[in-house]
Amino acid sequence: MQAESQLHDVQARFLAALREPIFGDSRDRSALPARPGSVSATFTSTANDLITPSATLQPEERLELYHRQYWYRLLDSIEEDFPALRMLLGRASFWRLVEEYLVAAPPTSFTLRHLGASLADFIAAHPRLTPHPVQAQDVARLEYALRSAFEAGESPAIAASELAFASIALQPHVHLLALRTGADTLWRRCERGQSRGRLSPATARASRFVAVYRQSHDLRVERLPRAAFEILSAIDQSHSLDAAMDRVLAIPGLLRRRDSERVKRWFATWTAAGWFRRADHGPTPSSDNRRSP
Amino acid sequence: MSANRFNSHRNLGIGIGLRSPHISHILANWPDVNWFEIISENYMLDGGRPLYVLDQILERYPVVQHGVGLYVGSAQGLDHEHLRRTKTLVRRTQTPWLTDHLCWGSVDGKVSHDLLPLPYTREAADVAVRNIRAARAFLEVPFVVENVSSYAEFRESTMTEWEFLTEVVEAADAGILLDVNNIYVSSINHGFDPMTYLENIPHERVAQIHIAGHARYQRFVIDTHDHPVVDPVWRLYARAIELCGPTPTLLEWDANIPPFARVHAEARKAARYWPRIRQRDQERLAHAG
Repeated sequence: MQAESQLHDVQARFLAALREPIFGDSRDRSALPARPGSVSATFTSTANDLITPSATLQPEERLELYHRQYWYRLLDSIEEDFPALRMLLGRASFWRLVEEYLVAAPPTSFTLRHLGASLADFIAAHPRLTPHPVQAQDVARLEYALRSAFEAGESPAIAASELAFASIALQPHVHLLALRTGADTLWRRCERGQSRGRLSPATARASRFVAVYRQSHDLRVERLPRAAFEILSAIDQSHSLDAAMDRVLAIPGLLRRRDSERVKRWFATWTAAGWFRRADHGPTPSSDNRRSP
Repeated sequence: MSANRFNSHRNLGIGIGLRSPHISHILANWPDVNWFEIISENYMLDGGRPLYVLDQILERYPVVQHGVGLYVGSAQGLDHEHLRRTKTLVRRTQTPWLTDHLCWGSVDGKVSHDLLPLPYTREAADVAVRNIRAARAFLEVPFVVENVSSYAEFRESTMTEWEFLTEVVEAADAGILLDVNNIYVSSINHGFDPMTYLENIPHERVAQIHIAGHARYQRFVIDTHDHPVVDPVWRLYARAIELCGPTPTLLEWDANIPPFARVHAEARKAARYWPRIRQRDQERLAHAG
C-alpha cells in the first residue's frame, strides 16, 4: 500500500493547501499572482513540490486557482443560505465570521446544503466574532432550519382520530425554535427586500416561539403561542399525546381550562397540515409520486 | 459505436441539464427535449420539492444521472454511504447509465466540493480502477467516467492524460463521458494539442459527450459553464462525432443561466454535426412552413 499512501499524501497536502484561509486581495478575486504573503510558506512549498509550471503560470499560481475556487464556492454557498444573517451583520462582519467558521468546521458532507449545519453553535461558542451574537445565533438557527426543512423526509400523516392512541412524533420537516430575539421578523424583512431595521435587545430567556416547516413544497416560518410550542415539543419528546398534555398542564399559568377550544383548534390545524406521523415510522424518502422500479 | 453497452444501447440524442431556473417553464410547457441530465447530489434528499419535480420530469423524459461526489480517484477509496445514496437515486430515475468524474475531492473526511486533478501515474490509475470496479458492481448500471478540466499538472505524472484515461477505462471496463470543452480548457492550460487527445482514446467506449462554454483569461482558461460553446470546441465536437459516431450529447450551462429557449437552442446546434438529425430538423421545418 506504499504507493497508494503516496497518492494519499499528495491529496492530503493538496487539500490542506486549499483549506488555508483566503483573505485580503485573494478574497477580492484580483488577478494572479496572489499578493506576496497572502499564502503561507507551506502553501508555496506544496505547490513547488507537487505541481509543474506551465508556459504562463507558476506552480503557486496554478494551486492558487484551486485555492480560490474552494473558498469562493463555500462562501457563495453560505451567503446563499444565510441572507438574513448577512443583512444582520453587514458584509465585513459576515465574511469574517464565515471564514473563521469554515476554517474551524471545513465541509465534511457530500453536499454544500449542509455547510451551515453548525454555524449557530459556532456563533454561540465565539460571541466576540460578531457584533450581535445572540441575534446572530437565532437567525443562523432559523435559516438552517429552513435548509433542513427543504430536504427533510415525510411519513404518512396520522389521522386526528388516532392521535390519542398512537405513538406519535412530528414530521421531520417541522422544526421548533425557541428564540430570544426577533429573528423571524428580521428574516421576513430580508425576504421582502426591506432593510434590517432597529434591533430589539435579546431577552434573558426564550420569548418567541417559531415553527419552520414545509407545506405543499413551500417553506414556512410561523410564530407560535408558547403553549402551542410546548405541546408540540412535548409530543415530539414523549411520543404520547397524553404524556405531552400532562407535561404542559404542569407548567404553571401556561394553559387554563378556557383554553381547551383554542387547543382543539391548534390540533385541527396541525393534523390538517399533516404535522404528525407515527413515531415508529422513521422518516422516509418522499413516498408520494415515487416511481416503482 | 454511438449506441453501445456503456449507454445501454440508447442513443438519446441531444439533451440539456435540468436546472432550477428552467423548472417552471418545463413543467408548464413540456418542451420538446430528448433527455435531461441531473446532478445526482442535488436529488439526494429525503423529501421536498426537488424530488417532486424530478418525478414529474421522469414521467415524460429520460433522465441520466451525472454525479460530482463519488471521487473515484480518492486514495482512501469510495464513500460507501454516498454509494448507497447514489443507488437509491438510480432506482428512482432508472438512469440508463451513470456518469461521474475521473478525479478526487476528499481526504480524511474533509470534502473539497471540487473536481481535483489526479497525477497520471500507475498508482493513481490502479486506485481509480479499483474504485470504479467497486462502484460498478454495487450500482449495477453502466458506469461512465468523465475527463475533467484542470489547471495544474503533477510533477510525478508518467503519462499523458489521454493515456491515463485510456488505461483506467479499459482496466475498469468503464465508458467515457467525453467532455470536449474540458479537453479544450486543459489543452490551453497545459499546452497540448486537443486533437491529439481526441484521437488517442478508445472511441468505442464513448457513451456520452459534454459540450459547454468557458471563461478565458489572459493566462489561463476556467471551465465555468456560463457561456455559449465557442468555435474551437465545436470543431472538437465535430471531430468527436466523426470518430465516435452520433453520440448522446449534453450541453452544460450551469451559471449565468439564460432562459430555457436560449439554452435549448445552443444545445441543438450540435445537430449540425449529426446527419440524420439535421435531416429530421429540415423535415420538421418543412412541415412547420
